[in-house]
Amino acid sequence: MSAPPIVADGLDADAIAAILLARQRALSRPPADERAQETLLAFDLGGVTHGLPIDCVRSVAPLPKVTRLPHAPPALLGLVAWRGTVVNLFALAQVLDRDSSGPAAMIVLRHDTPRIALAVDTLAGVVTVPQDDTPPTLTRLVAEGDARLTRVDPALLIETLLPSRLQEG
Amino acid sequence: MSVSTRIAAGFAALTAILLALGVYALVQIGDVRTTVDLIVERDLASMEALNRIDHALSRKVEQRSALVQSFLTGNNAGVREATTGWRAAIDEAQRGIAEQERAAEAYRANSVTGTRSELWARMVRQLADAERALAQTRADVETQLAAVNNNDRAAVLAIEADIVRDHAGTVARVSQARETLNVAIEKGRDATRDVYNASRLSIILGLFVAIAIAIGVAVTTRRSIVRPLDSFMGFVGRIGEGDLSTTTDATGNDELGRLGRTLNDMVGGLRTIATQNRAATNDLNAATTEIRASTQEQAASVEEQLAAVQETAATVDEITHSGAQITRRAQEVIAQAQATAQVSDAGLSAVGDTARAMDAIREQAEAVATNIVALSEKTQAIGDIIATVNDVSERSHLLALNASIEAAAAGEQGRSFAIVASEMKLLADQAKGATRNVRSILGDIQRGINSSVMLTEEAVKRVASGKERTDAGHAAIEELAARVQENVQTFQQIVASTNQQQIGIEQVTIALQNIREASQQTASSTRQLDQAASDLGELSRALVGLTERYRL
Repeated sequence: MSAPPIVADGLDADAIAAILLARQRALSRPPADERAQETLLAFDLGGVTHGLPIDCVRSVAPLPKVTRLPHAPPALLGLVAWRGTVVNLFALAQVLDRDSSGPAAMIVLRHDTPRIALAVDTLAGVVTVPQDDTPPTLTRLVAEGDARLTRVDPALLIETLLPSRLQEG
Repeated sequence: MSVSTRIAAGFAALTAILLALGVYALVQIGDVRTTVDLIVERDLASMEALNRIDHALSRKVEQRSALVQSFLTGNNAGVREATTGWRAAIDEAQRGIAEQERAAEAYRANSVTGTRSELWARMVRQLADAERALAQTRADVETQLAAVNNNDRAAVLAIEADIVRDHAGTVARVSQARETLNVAIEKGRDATRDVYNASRLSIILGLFVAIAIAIGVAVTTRRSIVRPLDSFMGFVGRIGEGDLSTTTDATGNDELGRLGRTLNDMVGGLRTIATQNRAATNDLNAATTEIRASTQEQAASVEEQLAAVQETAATVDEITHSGAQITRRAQEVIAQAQATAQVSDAGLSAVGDTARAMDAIREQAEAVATNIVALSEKTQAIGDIIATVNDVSERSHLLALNASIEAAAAGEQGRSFAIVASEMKLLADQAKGATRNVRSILGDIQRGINSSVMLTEEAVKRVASGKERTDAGHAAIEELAARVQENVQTFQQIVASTNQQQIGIEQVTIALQNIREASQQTASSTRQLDQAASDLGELSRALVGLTERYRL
């Protein structure tokens, strides 16, 4: 897709300058909290907002055509083709025991052998939450301002998804 | 048992009794006759036999006298002849006595009465004595004959006394037998009288028994017939007094039972008739009362009628005046109707203009409908475009997220890119919201277009309806003009009719005069009618009193 001309049409030079200034200020602003911050990718799953650390996410995409596998475990929806590779697609609602209203998008994790994608309902956006040093659990409730969301720990999630045999292979 | 059967049975019983009595009497008479015959026959035979014996004894005496005389005279021839005669005579006498003795013995065996039996026995004994005496006489005479043959005159005369004595004894015995016979005849007459008395007594007794039985039969028959008849007489007497509430006993199948049932049916019919009669009489009384009231009302109404006739006469005068006004008004109406006809011509041309305008409106409304359909198709195309824009905004949102991921992966060097990515996400969200608004607005537009299409079609239909009504109005105005013309003619006829009406009203006035006279006559007739109804009421009340006489 080429550069969107619609946005540029209604803006004159002053407006462009104001936007650039606002970006500069946002970039130069020091972090509000002294504690370490963590950026999460927010998504909805069965009406509940979840968050996944954005570091472990490779990409997001609309849910493509899914090829089902015979005798697969219940959490494994099947195989999908993504950027010329084959990715395992897991139903995160099945893993977290949520009521999914029908997945429409997927999140591709930064994990290569094997490649893993998670089916979610909708993608919400990116949020920044303070980081704490409690011992890691699979899901944990975190608060950022008024909003609350359930943080999913990626390492434990991958352990849950992949049995040891599959991790080795 | 029916009455006729009862009477016939009574007659039969009486006849049987009389028949038995007659037969019994005949038998008794026969019995008496037989007895009398028997007695008479035997007595006559015995009398005859005794006479023959007497005659034989007499001849014997004569022959012996002749014999003795001949002997004394020496006539030997006379002696022989007398001897022969004497033997014949005494043989006959002995034979007659023996026969009579046998007959008496037979009569004794089966005699009619015991007395006669004893008499017959006595006769047998007397005849036996006589026979012995006769045999003694014969022996004496034989002795004399022997003396005669010896010519011993002394011996002949000596024996003469014995002969006479023995003969006298014989005659005496025979006479006793005759006496006995006379007694037997007397006894036979007595026996006959006894038989006759016994028969007469038994017949008289039988007659009394028959009379008693006949009286019993008559009394029984009379009681069986007369008692129900007395009951019926009493019942009919009650009916005659007007008591219809009772019934009589109607038992049995004979004529009286049928008579009782017939009487009951008759009383039932009389009761029905009396009930209906009473109801009819009451109805008649009520009707008479109603007639009386009606005649009185009629009298009042005749008076009112008279007053009404007076008012009608006044009204007819007013009608005469108003008839002239009607003529004037009708002529005015004729002038106005002609003006109306001219106005309706102008109305016809105006209605024609309206019809043409309606046609133009209909064409324009059809053009509007066509345009609206084209607009609807355009909005469909806009919907497709909006779907495309929505898809694009979705993809932009994902792209912004991927950009944020890449910026995060770039670390500190990617921070400015992260800001741009967040702005891109913001823009994508705004585009999505705008698309949603546009889609909503487009839905409203499509609904508006649909309602516009329907309204336009409705407008076309209404214009067509308006055209029809305008045509109907055109026809109505034409009809109106024709009617106005007819009305002009009608009013001209009305004027002519009103003139005739004036003449008719004068005749009506005369007729009203006649009606008034007739009403006066009617009033007098009504009074007479009232009087007659009053008399009729008296009669019907009397009739009700008469019908009350019957008790139901």
